[in-house]
Amino acid sequence: MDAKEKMKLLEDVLEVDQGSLRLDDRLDALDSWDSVSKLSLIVMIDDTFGKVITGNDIAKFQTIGDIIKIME
Amino acid sequence: MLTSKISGIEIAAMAAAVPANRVSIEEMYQRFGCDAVDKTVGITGVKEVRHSVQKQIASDLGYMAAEHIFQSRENIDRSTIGVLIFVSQTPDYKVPPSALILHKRLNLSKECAAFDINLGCSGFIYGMFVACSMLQNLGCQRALCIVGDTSSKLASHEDRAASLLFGDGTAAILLEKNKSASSIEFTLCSDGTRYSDIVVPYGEFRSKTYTPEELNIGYRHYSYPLMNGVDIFTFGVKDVVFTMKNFLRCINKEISKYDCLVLHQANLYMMEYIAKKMKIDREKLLVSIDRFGNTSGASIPLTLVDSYGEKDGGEIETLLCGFGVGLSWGVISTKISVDNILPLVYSDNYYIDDDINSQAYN
Repeated sequence: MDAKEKMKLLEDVLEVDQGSLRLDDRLDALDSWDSVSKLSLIVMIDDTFGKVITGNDIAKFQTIGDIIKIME
Repeated sequence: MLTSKISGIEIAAMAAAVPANRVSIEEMYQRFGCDAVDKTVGITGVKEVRHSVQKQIASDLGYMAAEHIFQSRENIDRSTIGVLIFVSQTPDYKVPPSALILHKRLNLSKECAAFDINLGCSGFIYGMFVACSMLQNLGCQRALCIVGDTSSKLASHEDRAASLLFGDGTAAILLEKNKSASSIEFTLCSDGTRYSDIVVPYGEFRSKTYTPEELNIGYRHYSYPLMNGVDIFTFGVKDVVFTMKNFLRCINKEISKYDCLVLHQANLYMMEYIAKKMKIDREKLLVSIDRFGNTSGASIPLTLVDSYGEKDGGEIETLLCGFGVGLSWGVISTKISVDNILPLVYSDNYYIDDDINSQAYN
């Protein structure tokens, strides 16, 4: 899966327009980075990559790039 | 894996009672605003709940569920009930256990072991196992397991999520010795390392050990439920799924053989994802959270009563999984006769407990 596809998956989870996210965008600046999107993220990563990330993993994410890095 | 197969005991009747008092989503909109409520509804699936009126508590609902069983099975000799277990986190008093008050109200015999179990989400699974095990090892004919909570009274009314998410309800299950009964298979699990993921910090003895300064640290002074939503979600979709799959392998059963999967009703999004991971058809996942909210230990039997209480005939192969506070979880695999699942009781009735008023204590 290439970087563009991964970004699209993440944009779907965060319910933002395609192409609107950058790797260094800070999560705390995003309105849609909330408890609901965190659960969707867990499901997306498990569904796509077969691993269940933890609350601790999520707490460490600061930027979009941090999430993309673990998407494999 | 800790499994058990119990034979010779039948689920002779299953009933549940919820408050007639309904709290609709419109009332929630008025209290908390549309956006906040829609967000909670979106992820949990709760559209309305039943909240007990001020004077009604969990044991009241449990009493009504049990009496509903006695009324539908007129020839039950109450003295044959040798085990009475009340599974709840919202008891009548700190002391004595509410099971003894129910023992009085249900007019049971002295030849009966009655006690409470303090569990929530996994309460039905554990209550059933303890009741079945005790029944197997005692000379009596029957056991009664009553499980439920008035969680709405545990939560703060200012907390939007808890107000909408928690619903009240209590179920009663009558177990009978019957040589030709289908077996009931169980697995029980615990993980105390994650006990703080669901907690009511203040009010019991740990909080009494703190000075006022110590109480101010973190959430120690907080007297309502706290949940680490993200970690509980990962617990559900990872550990609980793992246990269920492992359990099916141990008891040599295929998921396709089940007529229904009933999960603890905590969150519709999580339940649907668990069902997907279990590879069971979506229509076999029974849901009551939309109309009753998260009903704690009663959620599994309440969901069965909601789906089958008005139906007649046949038997259903059920896979039941309770998981949550503790963290504690367990699974049951068993066949249930649909005729033994009674219609749901709706009532705001309650007990007027005057015994303590007239007592002389020294």
